[in-house]
Amino acid sequence: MSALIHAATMVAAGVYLVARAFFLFDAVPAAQLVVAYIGAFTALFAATIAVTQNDIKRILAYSTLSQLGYMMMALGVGSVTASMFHLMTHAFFKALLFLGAGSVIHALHGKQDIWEMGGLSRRMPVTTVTFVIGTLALAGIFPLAGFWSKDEILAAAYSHGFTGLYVLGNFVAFLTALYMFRLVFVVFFGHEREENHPHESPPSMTVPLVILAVFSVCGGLVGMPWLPVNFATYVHYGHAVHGFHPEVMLLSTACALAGILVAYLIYSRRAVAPEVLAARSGPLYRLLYNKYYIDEIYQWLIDHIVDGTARVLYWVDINVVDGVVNGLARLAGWGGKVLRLVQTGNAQQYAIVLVAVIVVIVVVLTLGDPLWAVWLWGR
Amino acid sequence: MDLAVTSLAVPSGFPILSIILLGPIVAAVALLFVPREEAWVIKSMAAMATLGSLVLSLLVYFGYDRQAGGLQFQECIPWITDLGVSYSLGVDGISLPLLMLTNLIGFSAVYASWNVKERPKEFFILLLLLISGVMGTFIAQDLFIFFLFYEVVVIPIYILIIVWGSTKRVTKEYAGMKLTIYLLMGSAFLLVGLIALYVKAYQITGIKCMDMTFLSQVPYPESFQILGFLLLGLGFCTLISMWPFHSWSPDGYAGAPTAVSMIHAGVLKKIGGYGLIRIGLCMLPLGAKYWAPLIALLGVGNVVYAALICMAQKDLKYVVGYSSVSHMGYALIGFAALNVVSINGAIAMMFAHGVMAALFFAMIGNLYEKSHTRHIPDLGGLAHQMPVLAAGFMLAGLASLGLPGLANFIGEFTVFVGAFGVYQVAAVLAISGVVFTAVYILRLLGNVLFGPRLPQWDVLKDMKGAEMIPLLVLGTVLIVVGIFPSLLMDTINSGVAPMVARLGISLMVGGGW
Repeated sequence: MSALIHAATMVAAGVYLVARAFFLFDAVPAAQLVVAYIGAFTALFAATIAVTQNDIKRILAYSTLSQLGYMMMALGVGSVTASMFHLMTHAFFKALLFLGAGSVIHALHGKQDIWEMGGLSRRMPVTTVTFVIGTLALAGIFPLAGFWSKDEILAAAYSHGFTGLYVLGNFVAFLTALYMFRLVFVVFFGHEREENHPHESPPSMTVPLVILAVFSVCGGLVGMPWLPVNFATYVHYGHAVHGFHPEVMLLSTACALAGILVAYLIYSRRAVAPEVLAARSGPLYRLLYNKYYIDEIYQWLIDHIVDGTARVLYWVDINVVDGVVNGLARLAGWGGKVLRLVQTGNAQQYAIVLVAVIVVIVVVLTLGDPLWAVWLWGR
Repeated sequence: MDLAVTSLAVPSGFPILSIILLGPIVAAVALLFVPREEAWVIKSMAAMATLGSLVLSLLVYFGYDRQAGGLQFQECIPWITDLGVSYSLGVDGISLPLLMLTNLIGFSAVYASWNVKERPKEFFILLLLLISGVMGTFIAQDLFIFFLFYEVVVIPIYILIIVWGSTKRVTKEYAGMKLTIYLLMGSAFLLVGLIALYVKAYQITGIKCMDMTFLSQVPYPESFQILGFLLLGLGFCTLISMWPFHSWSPDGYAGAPTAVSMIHAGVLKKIGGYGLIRIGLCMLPLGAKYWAPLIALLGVGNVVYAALICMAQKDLKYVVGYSSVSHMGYALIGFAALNVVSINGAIAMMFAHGVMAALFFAMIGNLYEKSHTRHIPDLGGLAHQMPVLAAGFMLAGLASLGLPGLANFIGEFTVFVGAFGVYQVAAVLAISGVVFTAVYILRLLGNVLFGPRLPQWDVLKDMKGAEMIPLLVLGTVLIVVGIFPSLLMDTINSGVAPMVARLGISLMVGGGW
């Protein structure tokens, strides 16, 4: 799959690394700002891609990327607690969602395109219920785990004065609810497909789903500000902050609900057919569907810039560097050929040269420039 | 470890280094009297000789007293007294890992050549001479002996390549001739430099002596050191394939038979690095300091330039050939940073790269023997047919790209740590080489080993029996050293730390670029 998704698996470690080394970022506010804006950009960027994808796992992968962007943004606005809290709750519901997707793919014998699915709720009740719980948690609906952690991130942005990021975070919350419920409505509700014969997965898959669903529901409670010992007691930078921002909660919940509503209208009620929307938004849709052509850009850079440099250097190596080496060898060979002409094997010629040289030496010694001779013989 | 070692201690006065050194030569002479039809006897004798040297060098390695340090197991017999030449051997923390490396690879190389059909008798005689020659350079404590063994090395290589080599992009005759002439050119500079060292020492002290320890205490004037180091450096840097004196190396490896590629990439190149440290740095520290920034710059050239070229290669041997040029750049940078950590790293890098490159060439040789191709686009999915070979390839590849847990990581990491404080830009550029290495190695592994099963390769038989010896020996070393780096690093440090302390150069190279 794409390089972006490969990166996503590593970014969880990246978030942790930034949090661990937060003292460095804290010392350089400019760097922290970069982290904040890159994080927010990632959240938006990946969420917009997720809205258009058709592969169930790819939607979840881009969603992961988007959530990691949230975590980075939290670090950037200065809240290690919020970031790590979201890292933890996200682990619960994203694991749940990936397992749920696995359960669906298993039931449909390897199909991954959401448009080839539909109406699975009747055949796969456990998967459906747990998946919806995970989706609600990811969308940040009260009182599930994601609600608390996402709220904490948004509250951090809000209270530290990053209004732009705060608004953007809410917009991403809207998109999150939209793409996740798009998936849910298309896969689990709507019409059943005749060619599919889904069945609920065995307990080896449903039991973990249930366990993870429980954590997705309650996992956020460890961060409750009124608890005497809560998440922030253990994970914080500087002094632990316990805060409660009703207005932040209300706005983010409203955004999430709006996302669910839009998804419901488009993908369940088909108030506007998704195909029509896609056609109307033409270039924008294609840009998002093709993931901003990031993979293509990478491929082009690798094919032309990196491999091109490699080919050029190889050419240089065998023609220039080695050319000099072979040239020297040829020079030696050529010198040999020229000097060989002197060795004719003709004794008379040797004698002529011998006499001529002796004559020259005698002439030079007797008549030549004395300085010359001094230089030559040291006399 | 040390307790176990004392029980194995070598009795003092026992000429163990001579036995290690001369064992293969004696076997080579004995092979002259074995009828050429007895291929199995010939191979067994070669294997026994190299095994003997390997076991004894293990005894030396673990019997070496690291606390005491300095030269140990010394032997000294005056030879040409008029010139002050003596047959003088000894090992310290710098030469010991390289002696060990030579024997590990020599032993493996015999097994990697187990299926040589053409003139096995001559092949193994030359191979044994080659192995002895390389060992000699590492344990010689006399300049004359050092140079003698250096020259002994070049000739067998030439014959081995032109007779048993293979012709691909360039003919084997061209490859062999290029390599030989290139190295002899280098050694001509080297010889002038060595004679200058000797004569100048006589002028300064009035003593005619070629002993390395003596020469490294002679206070050479700075201008002499700068010129002298240039001469020595040209010789040694050619041998370690420093850019732009590297072009003999990929062609040479590609043309050479497996065993020669293994020994050449594995140990012979390291004579260059060893010489830079043992002769260049020890005897001409001011010269080393003067030229170090240039060496670091060209070392970075090695790392990045050769790594990029690797990406454009289609022949397996050329990939590993250029990659060894690239990896030697790390050793050069480590050397040029001139501090304890970086030189430790450079030597560890040479050791680890030697083991890795030898393993790589052994695997490639084994594959080539069976498939008769090294052309990467022709290969693919070989892990289906040859899982053991694939494991060997993976191990060598992952070591090559510096995966933590394998020996090469130890060397690379130590070099970066040591060099960063001195040449920040160079260190950063060199680290970028790690990325390119990962790209070409993973591509190579992916294209050759993985992917769909190709029916035309169903005829290939996996490695078995004696063929597996190189994988077992070299693979074990890669893993053991990767997990217990102190086995290697403590020994190296026991040689490097006192040397650097004596020279007092640790802070002499001012940073900057």
